[in-house]
Amino acid sequence: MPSFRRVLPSAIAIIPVSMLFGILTYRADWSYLEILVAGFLGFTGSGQFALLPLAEANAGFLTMLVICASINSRYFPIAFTTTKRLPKTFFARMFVAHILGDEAYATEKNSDTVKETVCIRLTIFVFWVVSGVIGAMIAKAIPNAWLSTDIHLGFPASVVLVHLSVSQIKMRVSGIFHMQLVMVIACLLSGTAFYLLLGSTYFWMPGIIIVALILDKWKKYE
Amino acid sequence: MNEGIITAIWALFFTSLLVRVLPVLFDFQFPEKLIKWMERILPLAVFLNFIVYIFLQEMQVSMIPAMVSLGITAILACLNRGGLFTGVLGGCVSYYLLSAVLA
Repeated sequence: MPSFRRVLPSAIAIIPVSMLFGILTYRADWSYLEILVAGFLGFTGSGQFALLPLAEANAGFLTMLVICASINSRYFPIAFTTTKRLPKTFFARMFVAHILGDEAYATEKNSDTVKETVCIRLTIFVFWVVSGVIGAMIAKAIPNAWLSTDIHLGFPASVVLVHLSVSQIKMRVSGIFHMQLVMVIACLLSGTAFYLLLGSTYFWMPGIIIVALILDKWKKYE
Repeated sequence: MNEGIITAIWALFFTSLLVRVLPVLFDFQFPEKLIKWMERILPLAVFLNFIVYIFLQEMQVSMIPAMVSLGITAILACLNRGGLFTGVLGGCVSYYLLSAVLA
């Protein structure tokens, strides 16, 4: 299936990140079932990592919700842009919307069918959930000293996302904008300014809105 | 189950409902111009912010290896050389090598 082959490299790249989540949660005394449920119901990547220390500190539900929703606020505009390729039935639509991830979004195309979209999202989702539990099993099986290494396991996922994002940008800017390189630099500088000003949690919405306005003013035609 | 863990799982689930399910649950009728804007402009804005986020987050962990290796990946993607596998391999190998050399 072409869509499965398209998403497979990204799905493989997120394995170490999800395994790291499994390892950390296991060390924080989460059970396999809790890790499985957190992956299945709370499939948010960065949000899962952010809530780990808060769960340990028994923080309140609202505190956790505000932090997690702020980190993941980028999905709000993303979800709007993908409504056309979702199933029509209520529960299937809800489920496929729930399993939207960054890597899946960066792999999907506007021309993808519902079936291709489901295949891409489900592959990433299954790899993420299963790898988390496998990570916890590995944490149980190997000595603690082996786990206290300085290797940055999350880096491959960042590399995949950069590659997919650059490819998408290159494909989408073609023919629509004047002086594309200058425009991309202006947008990156704007995003950087918001990141430095508001921090990594709160920069998403203003960052996306301002960059979208810059892009809108930069286009050649309607 | 520990109470903190259950609360965290509920918070994660509600987050997903708020940011991913809610926007697609109702059949919002947007004007044609806005739909075009959401299909063309909005995704571009998201991807450009992804790049900013990843570069700055990774540079906090390890400045030079992150800049160099993510830069290599971005250039390979831009030039369309070797596809995703080569881009990721180039980025990861250069990152771990540079991290080891600079450690």
